[in-house]
Amino acid sequence: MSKEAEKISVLQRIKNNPVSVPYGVLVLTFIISTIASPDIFPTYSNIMNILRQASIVGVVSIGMTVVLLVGGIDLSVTSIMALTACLLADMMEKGAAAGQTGIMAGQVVLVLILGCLIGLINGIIVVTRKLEAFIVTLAMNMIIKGVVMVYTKGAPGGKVTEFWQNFGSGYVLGIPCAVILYAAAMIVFLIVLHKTVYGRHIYAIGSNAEAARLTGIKVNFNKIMAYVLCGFTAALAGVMLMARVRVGEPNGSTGYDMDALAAAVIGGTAMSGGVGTLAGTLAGVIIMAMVNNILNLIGADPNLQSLIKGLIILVAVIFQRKEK
Amino acid sequence: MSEYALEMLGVTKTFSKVTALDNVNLRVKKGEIHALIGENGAGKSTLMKVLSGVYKADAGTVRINGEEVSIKNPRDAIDKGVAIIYQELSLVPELNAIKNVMLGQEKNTLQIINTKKENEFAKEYLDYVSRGSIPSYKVPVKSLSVAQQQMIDIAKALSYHSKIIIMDEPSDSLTNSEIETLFEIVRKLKEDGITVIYISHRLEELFALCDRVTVLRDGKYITDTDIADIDKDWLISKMIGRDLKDTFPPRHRSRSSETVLEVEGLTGERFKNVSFELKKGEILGLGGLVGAGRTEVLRAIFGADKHSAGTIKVNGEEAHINHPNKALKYGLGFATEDRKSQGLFLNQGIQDNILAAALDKVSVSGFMQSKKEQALAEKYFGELKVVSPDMDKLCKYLSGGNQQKVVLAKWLASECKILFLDEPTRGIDVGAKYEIYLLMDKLVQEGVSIIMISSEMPELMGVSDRVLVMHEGTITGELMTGDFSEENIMKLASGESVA
Repeated sequence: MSKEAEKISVLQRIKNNPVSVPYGVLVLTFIISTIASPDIFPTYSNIMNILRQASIVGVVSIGMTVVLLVGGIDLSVTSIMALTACLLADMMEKGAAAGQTGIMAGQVVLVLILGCLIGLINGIIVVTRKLEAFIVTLAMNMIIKGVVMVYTKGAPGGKVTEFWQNFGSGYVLGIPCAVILYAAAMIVFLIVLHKTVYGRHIYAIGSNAEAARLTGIKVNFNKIMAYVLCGFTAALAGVMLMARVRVGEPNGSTGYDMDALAAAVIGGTAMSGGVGTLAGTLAGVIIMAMVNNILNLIGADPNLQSLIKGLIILVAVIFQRKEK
Repeated sequence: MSEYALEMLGVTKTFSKVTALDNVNLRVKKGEIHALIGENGAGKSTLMKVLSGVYKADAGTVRINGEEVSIKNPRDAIDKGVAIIYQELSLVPELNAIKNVMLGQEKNTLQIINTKKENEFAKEYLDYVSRGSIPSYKVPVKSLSVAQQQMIDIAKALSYHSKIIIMDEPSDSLTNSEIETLFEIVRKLKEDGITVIYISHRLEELFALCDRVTVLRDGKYITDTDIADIDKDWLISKMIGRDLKDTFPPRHRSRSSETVLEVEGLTGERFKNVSFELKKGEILGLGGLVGAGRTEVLRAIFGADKHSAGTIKVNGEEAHINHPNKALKYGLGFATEDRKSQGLFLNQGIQDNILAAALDKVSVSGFMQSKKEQALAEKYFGELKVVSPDMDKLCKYLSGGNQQKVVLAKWLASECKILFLDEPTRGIDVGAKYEIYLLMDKLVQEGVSIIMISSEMPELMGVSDRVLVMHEGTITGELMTGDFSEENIMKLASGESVA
């Protein structure tokens, strides 16, 4: 092949790659933001700040993407986050009183398992009763939110051990700890989705569940697992949120569900399942964090943020429609 | 006045770089039944979509009754008297017959629907088509048979005062007696001066029904002629561009006495007491009318549906198959009739589809091995001669024949030993059909055993080593090669016995 032809084929591949659009938007957002705020926006510390803000939504969006890929949705992530954060902060308060300053791994694992269990219940109800995931997880969200509210009486409480305080605000090698955790979670789930049999099954189920079943794929089991994974990432995000605000805040997770969903959709994930990638979702997450950041930097009316986010989502969806 | 109801001259249509129609002509005389044939991908559907305003042609003229027209959209086509009955009927399943006919042309005064007027108007057309064969116009159409729904769709087309009606593969999902009824309706339309363009893969039908035929191949116009002047072989040679000596390949069988699958007293919702054996290396045909319970039996054996009684033995060992996943472990494979909704992952590439049932062969403890993946997929991609520039192409963009090849490749890659094929050549053109028959012959030579459901009698007799016929959920008879005849199969299929 001549160099010229190679060039064309590379361009062609970029054009045909479904994540090209979100990454194009990402670059565009970066350029516009740099022009709007040349002194602060493109600095290292600001970029790290953006990434840190993105990391919690990012972790939620991983599980959300998996659930969307099997043709489902999970609206219970915010209350899972709130439950995890409040419960863990409460346990840590007791731990801290007893002089503990460390990671408190046992308790952390416990709340992560709790997240998985809620996902498991979501999945079992949706799959075995063949119900709409939208309604089931919406109800689950209200139920758990109610539990959290009763448990905390609606007020922030608990303490965070030193380790997690450091995690929430600290850096390793100049990178915020939360970002490192997000990156690790991304790597694990990228492998799960693209390099494992389970990942193949996820895409097959989302693409055509009946064909998948007749191909011998255990559709129900794999679908339930997707909700379990989503519950897990939501709980992990809850831990990160707690570390960041240094308290168990029952209302602190508001909006994360829709942000995660929006990030996945901006990244090219189809609500109907089977289409989408975590790489795309990553772009969606960063785009949204960047927009928040630049609007703050230029001192825009904070109420404008919602409007701009909404516009970005609309434009993204309109573009994807055209792609097909 | 022109002799032609419709003339499409020099129609050209390209999609990005692919030329779907290249200077195509179609001339349909007034009041005739005109067959439009060609292999899959020949351009029939594209041409009809140009006519019905779905696509806009790059070049060419369309004349209706000698008058040049430009059809901008489907609504425009209807206004100009052209209606199309798609294979997937365009009815709203929840609405009744009358509301379906009136959809988009509701009789109303200030948005208030005049039910009485609607009933009268719709009933006229429904009666004309159904002649009493639809029990009620007031039940949701989804509770009616496919044939009855089709009648309603035709009534809907007539209610637009259409002068040209296009039928796209109308007989595909009908039983033989329903096809007869359809023919009567089409002939009646002709008597009343309506021009019909009839698209079908079943060449026998064209000779029974149509007056003239236009042949397309690879997006080009080949010929048009009176049906009376030609025969089937000539037509096939025009369609595929070469002589096709044999419709079915010769059999190379070494059927052994070894029983690989034994079904005893299998009973389920739509079949009862079904018993049979499948020998190693044979093709067992399963004949009968649509709805006789053939698919249901295979689905039950495969674990896709539950059964209430009976035993299944694979290689002499009793098998409890409660999920297709188990069926795969016993070496079973099932290429379903409806490829798009049950067989393929349309939004995924060819490679992912081929490997879907063989992931354990290309992974190590749950992790995919991309080199192995590519090697295995390439093997069957090549063996089945799937026509595509690469294996990344999404399956939704493949033709029917190539889609079926991908489905078969999936099962071959799973290395199944017992393969169920449900209408394996439905909606596939003649050339690809022959390739699939060749493949089946090769598979049984390699020791695979096949059960094939087919509603096409020539295929059933031309490919099978033995035929079982079902009627209303039970097996009514078994025919060996020597006893194969359409008459025998028909008798068994309608519940009579064979002498």
